[in-house]
Amino acid sequence: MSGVQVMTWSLAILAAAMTALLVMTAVGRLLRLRRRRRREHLRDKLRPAVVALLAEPDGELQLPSTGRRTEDLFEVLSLDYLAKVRGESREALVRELDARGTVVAAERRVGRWGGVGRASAAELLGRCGLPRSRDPLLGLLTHRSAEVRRVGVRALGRLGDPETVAPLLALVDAKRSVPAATVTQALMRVGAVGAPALRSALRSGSPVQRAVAAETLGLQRAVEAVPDLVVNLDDDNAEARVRAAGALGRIGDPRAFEPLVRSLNTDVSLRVVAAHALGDLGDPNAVSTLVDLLDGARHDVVTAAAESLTRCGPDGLVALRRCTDRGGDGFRQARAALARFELGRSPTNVEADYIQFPVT
Amino acid sequence: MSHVLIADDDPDIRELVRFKLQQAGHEVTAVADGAAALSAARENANFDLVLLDVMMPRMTGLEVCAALRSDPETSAVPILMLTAKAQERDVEHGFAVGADDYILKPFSPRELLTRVNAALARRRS
Repeated sequence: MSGVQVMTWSLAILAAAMTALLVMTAVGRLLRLRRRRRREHLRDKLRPAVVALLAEPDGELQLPSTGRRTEDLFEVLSLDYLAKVRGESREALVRELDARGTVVAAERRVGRWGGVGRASAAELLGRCGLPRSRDPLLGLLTHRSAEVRRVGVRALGRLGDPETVAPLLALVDAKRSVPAATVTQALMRVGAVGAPALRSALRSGSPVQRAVAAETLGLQRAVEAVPDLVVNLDDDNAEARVRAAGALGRIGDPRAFEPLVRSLNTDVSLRVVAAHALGDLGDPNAVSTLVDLLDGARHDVVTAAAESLTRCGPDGLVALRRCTDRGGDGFRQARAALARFELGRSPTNVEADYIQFPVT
Repeated sequence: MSHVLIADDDPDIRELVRFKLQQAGHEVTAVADGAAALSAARENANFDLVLLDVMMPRMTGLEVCAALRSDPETSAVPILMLTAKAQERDVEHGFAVGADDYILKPFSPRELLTRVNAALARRRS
């Protein structure tokens, strides 16, 4: 066979393979599209029955058809609606899922092999929020797949059960851990009932857990935790101290004022957060302390102090305006903070403008 | 019987709200985006109430609300905003552009009907 023939055959085989690949891709797409349309069609058919139940929670659910596919789609549709409605409508849907055996099936699926099945089952159990789902979901927290653990954490948060606080917190520094942000979100979902357990966790032996507990209490605006958080301003661990200061600022209780002012004399990272927190408190008594910080050498502390002065009422603004004629970094930061305040814009936008139109 | 305009891009919510309001005896027109809501309101200025989702394609609920308030034909119609709990800042913006009330998602269909009826009663009185 000559070289030209080899080349011709090679090109013909390549063209045939490419054509086959294109045809297979197109057929695959068409099949997926058809499947999706069929699912959407069935979903549209099921929706009126689910909507009728949600609108009239004392009524009975009457699905237009029966069979495995209908049940599967009803589960998917219910899962979507559970995130969109609350009150007696939500309770009616959970009752219906429980009565149809969907919840029991999900509890079984949670213990089986396969990350996807476990994750979808956990999602359903979390959305249903039945107290009996706690133990099956706790079993997911040691799963080898990080995604399954994350889904388990989210689902446990949705249960709103204070008993889940300790196991959730333990995950932040476990061997098979979950990111602290995911755990914090779940703890936020647990809600105010979890606050006593979080306060206990402020005395935990783990600094990471103390930090996450402080962060969550701050986000929950847990006023009753202020005395415990004040104690944590002297924590051995820097992260735990910083989180406690941030939480005290968010809660905004006046009892935090003196301890936060004292924290300004400690390490730099705490000084920055304490300066921010004093701004969060908005106490005019903080003005002179914050003005003193404008003379500091640390840019981040000066920026935080200048920003906080804009939140200390008219006294803070007057003091800030007086500082604009000073030299050094304090002068620049005071002017920038005033500009941001007066424009009512985010720091990012002002900085972006500054880059385009430098102020001399 | 009152005529209510609903605008929400989520068909699950749109159909639930439509069903609940129709069940209570209201006439309902439902659309899937902000621009469609604005043109529906301009074509038919006889809506007794407008229910707008905040996050919608083409035009947000806040933009539709501002446009309705600036048009003399539609400026008096009560407007209720539907907003996710995570977007509570939108509530403030909603009031600033002229919304009368807001409903947080996830919502209770019964509470939604109560709010709608209360707004309609205020309009009648």
